[in-house]
Amino acid sequence: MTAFVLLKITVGADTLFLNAAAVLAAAVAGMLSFVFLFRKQRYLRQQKKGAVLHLFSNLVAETAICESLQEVQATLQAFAAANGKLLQKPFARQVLIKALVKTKDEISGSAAGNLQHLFEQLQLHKDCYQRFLSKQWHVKAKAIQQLAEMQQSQYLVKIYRETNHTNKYIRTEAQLAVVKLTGFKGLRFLNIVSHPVSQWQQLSLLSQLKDGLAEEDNIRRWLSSSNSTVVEFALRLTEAFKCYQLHTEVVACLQHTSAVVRRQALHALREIACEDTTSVLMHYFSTAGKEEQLVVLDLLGEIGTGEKELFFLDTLLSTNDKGIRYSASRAVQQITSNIPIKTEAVTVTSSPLLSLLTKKAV
Amino acid sequence: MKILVAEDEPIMQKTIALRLKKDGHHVITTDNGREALSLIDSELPDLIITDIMMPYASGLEIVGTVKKLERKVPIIVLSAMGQENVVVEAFDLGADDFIAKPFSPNELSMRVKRLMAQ
Amino acid sequence: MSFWTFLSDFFRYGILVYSVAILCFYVFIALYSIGETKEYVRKSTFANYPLLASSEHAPSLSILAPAYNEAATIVENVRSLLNIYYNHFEVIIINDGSKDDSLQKLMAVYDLEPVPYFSEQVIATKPIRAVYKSRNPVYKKLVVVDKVNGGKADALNVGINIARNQYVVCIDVDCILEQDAMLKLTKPFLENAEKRVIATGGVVRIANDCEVKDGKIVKVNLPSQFLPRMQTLEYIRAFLLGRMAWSRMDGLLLISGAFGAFDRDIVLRVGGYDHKTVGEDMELVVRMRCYMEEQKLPYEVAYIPDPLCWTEAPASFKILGRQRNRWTRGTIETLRMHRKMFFNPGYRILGMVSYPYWFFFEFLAPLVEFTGFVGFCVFAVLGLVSWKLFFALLLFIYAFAALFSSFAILMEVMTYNQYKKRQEIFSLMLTALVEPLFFHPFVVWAAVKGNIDFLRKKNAWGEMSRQGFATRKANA
Repeated sequence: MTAFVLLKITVGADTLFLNAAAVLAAAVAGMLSFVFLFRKQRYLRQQKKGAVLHLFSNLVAETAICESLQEVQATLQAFAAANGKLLQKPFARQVLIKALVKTKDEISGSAAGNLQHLFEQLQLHKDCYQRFLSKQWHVKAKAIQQLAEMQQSQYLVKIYRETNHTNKYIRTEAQLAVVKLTGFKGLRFLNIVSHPVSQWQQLSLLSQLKDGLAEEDNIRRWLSSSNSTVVEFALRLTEAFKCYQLHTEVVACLQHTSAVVRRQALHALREIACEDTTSVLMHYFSTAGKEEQLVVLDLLGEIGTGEKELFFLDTLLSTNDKGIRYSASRAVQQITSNIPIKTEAVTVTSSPLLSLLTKKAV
Repeated sequence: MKILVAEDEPIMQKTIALRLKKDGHHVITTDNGREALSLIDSELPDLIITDIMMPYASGLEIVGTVKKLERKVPIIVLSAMGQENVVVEAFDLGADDFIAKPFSPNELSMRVKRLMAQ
Repeated sequence: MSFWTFLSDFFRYGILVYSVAILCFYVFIALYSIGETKEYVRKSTFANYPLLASSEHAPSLSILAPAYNEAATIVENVRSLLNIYYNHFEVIIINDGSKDDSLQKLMAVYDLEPVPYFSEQVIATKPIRAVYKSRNPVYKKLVVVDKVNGGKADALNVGINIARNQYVVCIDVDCILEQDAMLKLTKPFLENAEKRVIATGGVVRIANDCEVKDGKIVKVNLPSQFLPRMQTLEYIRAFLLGRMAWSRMDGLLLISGAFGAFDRDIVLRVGGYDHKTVGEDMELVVRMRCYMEEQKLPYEVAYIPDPLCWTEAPASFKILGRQRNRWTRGTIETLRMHRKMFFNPGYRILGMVSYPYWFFFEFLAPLVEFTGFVGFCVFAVLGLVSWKLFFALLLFIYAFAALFSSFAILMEVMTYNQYKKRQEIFSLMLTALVEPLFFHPFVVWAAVKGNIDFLRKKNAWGEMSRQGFATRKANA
């Protein structure tokens, strides 16, 4: 880290360095005292927060299990009577907001409604909105998250305006928020978003949409978006919601310039496979890159049902590429294990080709 | 009935405990898997409710351990990890019920009643 | 001007310039890292890691852990790996021809049976003897590969060949992971929509004297022994300041060999780990970066400052010496293999900043220091030293070193705050004051020896004996 420096330059250099050393030593002392000061302050802050949080966790828990909104009201009044000014202190209100948001995320049903009612009774959305107006990105993004979690749809339009914000954190929280507030309809921002939608964001959005209904027309539009991440997401939606009507459009995505999109299209085809799918795949195989070819072979194994696929796979069993050979034979095994192979005494359906392939694959 | 609740989020822990106490149960709580396992031995609860993602020992480990014991204790898994394979694994290990988060405390109460009745 | 005057002037002014440069760089690193740490901490306040654990669509991971003579702890380590909080993953243990009964222990405890396997052998490796999986469905995520001994790099390459998922996580088998380590390590791969993330690495912390129960850290303690404590401070400086700054500049050359994740596709394309070097972890990252630069593809190497992995640090001078010796040789080998990057604008930050920095201030630093020390002795003997100046300078450098370490301690306390007891902070500060006097010279000497050994072409890992986590009793 350091080098010993040996010099014999002009006189006065030694005093210079001695003074510098003294300054640095003072800085060290200063820094170390600051460490202890910081620790002490943090400890006090945490104690204060802990005490407040303890009170509020009781309030939140009791509110959650109330049987009616009147009971929520009564619980709140009892709390206010016992803890007076606390509910007006901004610092305490922030602690309560965080506690409510965290709990509401894990709770559903009437309990969730109770928490929302408490949030509104105390006008906590106003505190959130103040933070929403902040210039600091992390404050604004957190506020968006909180407003959405507490279902404050009166801010929907304002939040929607941020769904194409240049700051990636504000943008992603806003996108999640509108979906949380309005479900599938909230995905409208995909029409206008000019920044890429990361995979993480796609997973987050999907998890928000779990129980909704898909709007296939919109998905169809997104499948031809100029933003390749939007296409990718649309394919995930197709897969998640099993949109059989979009088969043609998904097949078209196999020709997309982005490898990620092509891979995603193959995944989607697994879920919305119809009778044409295997032919499409076999046709696509010849122009696909090696990685995609392996995925195609896996898919054929899963959705293939008969001679057509087996015939195709047979041609691959003698190719030079070991990986292709292996995947092809695995696919054959999968297909043949799904077909009930009858004994010799049977007819046309158990073709000689079939038995030959079965023997070859094993 | 004595119920052990293993949940690392403090407010959730309180909420579940309050709801069960309302039904008249005696509730013991813990926020980590290791303590849960030792409490199972020392307190001998009649029912266990556990999260999966907890410090030191996973809820699924707890299910596996409990189901190997001599004493038969019903166990409900309550977790945000609601994917199919996780649910299947929980039941494979012997869990009596699986509730995915977000959940309703009232629903939990009903399921507890049902399990106790069996 | 006589030859000797020229030499001594070159010596003096050369070292002066060098020292000023290195001090400036350290100041820059310290300040530059702050912004990155601040952003990361703020970002974490609303990151939803559990989402990744509970999402159906999260990517699958292949966790590779090479094992050599780890019979004492292997069963526990594997158990701890199998209980990671993540949904779709496989754990591949590669038994690198252990001479003890590691494999037998695993087979007994996990009920393993040999299974047929297929691996395309994209990377050439030593032969595989057999692949095992468990009969028990509880352990279905476990794959054990038994192979002929070939070293850590070779073992990892076998794992990479066999792995079936898009991302591989390379880990030292006795590393203790934080609960959400996998989630945090994987998130960067998914977050960057503009660039392809090719590798991610995290912070390695020192586990000596921490309470470990059932393969998890239960309580964090500052190491009580002298050497591990010194290393703790060293790691804090390196990880919290150094790597943060490099990551912000997008010039990170190194991901800890103990715990890192890689995009398998890119690893295969560059040919996997190189078994000819002892610094295979650094060399792979450098090679992957070179590849992406040459292909002109936008990419990122992500760094996560959260403590993700805990490992045991050497407690004896002998073993520490061997470790540093190996690191030095690894650095030299990597620098040599990729010397085409040196001040080559085609490699952008990598070639213009990272590589030169490593060359001058990581590789050369111990040598310069050592030469300086020798030169000083010579001058002292010749009576040419101005003692007043010498001591002034010594105090200056010492104060600078203490300041830099104090700053690192401050950052640690302000961010992750792993050492909560006041006693421990005092101890760390004392360490900062003691280190330049006792620890640093040893490290320099070990590095110099590393250079000598490199020139002698020593090529072994050396035996690393471990105390083992199982044998240490948890404090009451």
